[in-house]
Amino acid sequence: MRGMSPIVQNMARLVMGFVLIFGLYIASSGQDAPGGGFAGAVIVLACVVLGVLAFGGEAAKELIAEHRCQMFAAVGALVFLAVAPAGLWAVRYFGENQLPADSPFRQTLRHLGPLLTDLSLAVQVGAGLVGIFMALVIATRRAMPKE
Amino acid sequence: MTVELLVLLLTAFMFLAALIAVETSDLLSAVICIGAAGFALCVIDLLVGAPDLTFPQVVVEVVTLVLLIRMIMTRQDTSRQTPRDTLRTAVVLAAGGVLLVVAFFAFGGLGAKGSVPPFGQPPMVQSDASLSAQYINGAQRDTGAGNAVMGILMEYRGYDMLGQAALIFAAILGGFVILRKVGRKRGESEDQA
Repeated sequence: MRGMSPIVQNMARLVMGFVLIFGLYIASSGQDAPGGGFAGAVIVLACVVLGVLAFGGEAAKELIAEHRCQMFAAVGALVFLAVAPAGLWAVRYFGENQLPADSPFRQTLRHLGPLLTDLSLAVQVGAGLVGIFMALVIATRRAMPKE
Repeated sequence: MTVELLVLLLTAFMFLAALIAVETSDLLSAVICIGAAGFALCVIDLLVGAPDLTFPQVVVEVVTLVLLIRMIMTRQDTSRQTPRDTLRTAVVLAAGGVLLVVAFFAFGGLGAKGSVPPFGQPPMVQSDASLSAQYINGAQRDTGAGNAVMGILMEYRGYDMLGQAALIFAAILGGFVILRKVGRKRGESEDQA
């Protein structure tokens, strides 16, 4: 997949940063605003797709390694898996009555679980989707005759 | 009532778009029709007050539309053309029309007494002691989340979410296995692969 014209490339260069930041914001603020890990991950994927379409598959392959994507997808899944028993442990350890309900520590703890699950979901889904997209880009490049 | 009517109209539009996508012989028109159906679904999500669903839906629609159009521009269409079958189209159209009419009256359209609970009042919400009522009343207080949907998904139903994450992970692994560069064939030894 070759890159597109310099106009498209410059526009993509302008827009990509904003798209990426928006995706990260959506992924990390799912608890208090519309959004969540999955939506944020898909927006990050949109940023990558924009980059690949504008600059071509070769440029993207230098930045994103497929095996790195697989690793991040696995890490996200593991973090999600770790949060689940950690929540049980935290409930048993801190108990319902040992901390006053309005203590800042308890508030932080209460926000930490959903935030971690959301972010791990975003890492897992985002890395997986980006990896599959990159694999498709490479597969397309191999299958197509030389232009 | 106005929301229901709009949702029904949009559903009819989506049905029509899907039908055109199946029946048209031009791949580009088919892709655009699929995109129209998807964006109609986004509008329905917004109408019924589910911006959480609209975000990923819009992005997925845009990405798939761009990818599919790119694919069609690059590849030649080598699929076999099937002759158009008027009877089949008519049967599908009639079935869809019957479905829409039944849905319209089931939801209490034109003042009919609907057998389905009124729009926006599912049966799980109606009694005060029900699980949904507890979720809705306690979500903000129990979880401290500003977004009650996320509070329910990530705290009350956290293990449900864990199952979904496992499912997505399995799907991603499957994608990687299919798309990997070096494939192992049955009967080959490890060092050959």
